[in-house]
Amino acid sequence: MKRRYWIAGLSVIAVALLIGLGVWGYQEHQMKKTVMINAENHYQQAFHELTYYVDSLEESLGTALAMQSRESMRPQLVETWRLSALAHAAANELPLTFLPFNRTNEFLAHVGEFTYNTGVKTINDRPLSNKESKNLAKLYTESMTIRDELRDVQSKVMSQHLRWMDVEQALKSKKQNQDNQVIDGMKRVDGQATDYTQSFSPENPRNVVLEKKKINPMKGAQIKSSQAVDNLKKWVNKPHAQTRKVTQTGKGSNVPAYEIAMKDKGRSLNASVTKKGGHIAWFLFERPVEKETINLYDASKRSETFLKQRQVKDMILTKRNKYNHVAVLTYVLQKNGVRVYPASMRIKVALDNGEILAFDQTDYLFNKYDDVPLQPKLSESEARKQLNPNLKVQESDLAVFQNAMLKNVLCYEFFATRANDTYRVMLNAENGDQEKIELLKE
Amino acid sequence: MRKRLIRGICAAILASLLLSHTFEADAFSNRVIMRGDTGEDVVELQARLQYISFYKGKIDGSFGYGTYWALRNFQSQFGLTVDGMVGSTTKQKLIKASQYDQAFVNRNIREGNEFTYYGGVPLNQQVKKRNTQSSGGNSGNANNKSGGGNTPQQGGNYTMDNLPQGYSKSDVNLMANAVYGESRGEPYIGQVAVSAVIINRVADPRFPNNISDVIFQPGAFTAVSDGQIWLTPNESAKKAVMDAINGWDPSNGALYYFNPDTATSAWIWTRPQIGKIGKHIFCK
Repeated sequence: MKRRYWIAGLSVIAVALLIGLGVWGYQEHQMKKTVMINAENHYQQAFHELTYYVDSLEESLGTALAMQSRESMRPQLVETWRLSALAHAAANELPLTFLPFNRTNEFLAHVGEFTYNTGVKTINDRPLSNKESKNLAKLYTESMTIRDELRDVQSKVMSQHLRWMDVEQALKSKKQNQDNQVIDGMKRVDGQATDYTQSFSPENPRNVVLEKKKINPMKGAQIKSSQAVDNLKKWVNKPHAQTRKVTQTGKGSNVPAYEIAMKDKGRSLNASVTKKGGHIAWFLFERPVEKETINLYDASKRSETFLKQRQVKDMILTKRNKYNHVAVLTYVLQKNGVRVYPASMRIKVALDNGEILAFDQTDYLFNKYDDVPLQPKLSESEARKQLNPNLKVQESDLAVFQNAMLKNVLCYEFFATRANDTYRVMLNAENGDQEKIELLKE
Repeated sequence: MRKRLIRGICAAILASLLLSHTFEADAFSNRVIMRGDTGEDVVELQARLQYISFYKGKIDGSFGYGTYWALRNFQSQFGLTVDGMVGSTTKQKLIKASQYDQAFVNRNIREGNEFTYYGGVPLNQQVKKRNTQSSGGNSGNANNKSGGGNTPQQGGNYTMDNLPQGYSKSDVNLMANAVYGESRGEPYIGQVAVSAVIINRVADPRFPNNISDVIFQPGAFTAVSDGQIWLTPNESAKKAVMDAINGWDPSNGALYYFNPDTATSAWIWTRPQIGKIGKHIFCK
């Protein structure tokens, strides 16, 4: 009798538990579904936005092609510029980093750059040059191809209810090659655009380290890894450091180099030494720095000695940063009184004992800058006329500067103040164009 | 009797004058101060330049452009070599031309008050007391740090505000979070390389053009996808980020990196590789 009660009681509890579990599970499921739908909608929105903007972009480029003077074309170019920025933003919200989606983004970057330079930045009103019109026509053709492919993917997404969350899952899971229409469609967009990017020549990408053509050929003979190690030991003045590892950079690297890891008194030192010429591109010799006993001036003296001992000449200190008890000093080459900003190097000094902790001359070694004439066409007073009269010039000099199009240009560099703000204004020394204006933060 | 008294008073005045004078001369440390410096010497420099109305900015102990131009103008008006650096000659001239009430300036900096230090204006008219009620939300202020650190050479009070152009404190913090989440088991050099990849992406037109968009781009970093980005970063990650934004790039221009043991995408293997640091392979 008693046992029966027991069983009944237990089964009631079990049923209650089961129901509870079921309710809880259902709620969890619902919650997960909501989150998934939310994420999915976000992706969908981004993708449809992208196709919409590329669509409008194509139209806008086509319209611009039909216009004659730059003045009449300008609003159209500015509009295109705006659309390319929006499309780029939408593209970057899609889960596609590890997909070969690069080319579409690259196309958008080209459009952005081209329209900015031809429509927004220039100050004269000559019609587009032959080359510019050709580039515009090329961008237009390209936009049509990309638009068609995106539209194709879009219609598939719509008709077959494809989900971006599945793309993400597919990218995350190892089964990458399973049939996924979205991925396939995107791959096709990519493949077709390849052809065009190689024939197109605007100054791209922005980062010098990324582009082979902009790189200075190294001087000197090919060296063996043992010699690279010797060079490094000499450069850092640590003859007794033990070499831990020497590897060679792969084919992705623009300048073939040896990557060297060393140990000296328990501290590790990493460096990169070019194969040709055996130049030390950079080294890092890390350790904690807890206090400050020397100041910036002492640090700058140390780094000047460092450069002098290594026969690096004609460098002037242009930038000083101090943080966490270290100072980072930036030096640039001064050639015939002209500051050559692309040729810069950085030295990190510990402010507890003045030790040189790190050094980097990749820009100095790799950046190409020798093709710039150092004689200005404009006089300084002519250039000054371009300045806002509210600016008070405090300092001026000539400088070679790498502009947004990665072109080295000779500029007048003005340091000017307005109230408590300091600006750096770069005016092209050939035509007075404003290459860059910068509000200097202290 | 009376004569002696006068003489005594004279001597006392003279002595106090001498004393105060030597005290003032001692106030500057005997080191050269230059733009980019921070600390006690800079506070005094700014205060003195403000006393004679050359410097109109905030007295904050950070030698930026504002102070630099003020100093150069001072140097040119007083017939000194215009080099924007404070050596012994400039110090002497500055000490002669101005006064410095160290206690007043330091107290106001310590209390975080808004204040100026112009000569000829009563000091109590130049201070705007900080609202103590709002101090809680304001703890990021460099002057609030504990330890009462206003002794000279304690430059640590002024660090971290001195970031390279184009980066904000929150950029650095966000990057440190990402770098820590992505590579906390890696050697230091590997952490610098991961930070450099973020910066290379910002510079590359195919990627978003700011730090936060690069980090939060869907699928870009596993630490973002799985939430590890919200772990608290350690000092090493922060240092690595600072090294990378100051220009060190151990990845040699890489845009991607992956761990070959856990990489899920076949595509990533097709990218041209640059090198391996720790567990990560870096590629274009």
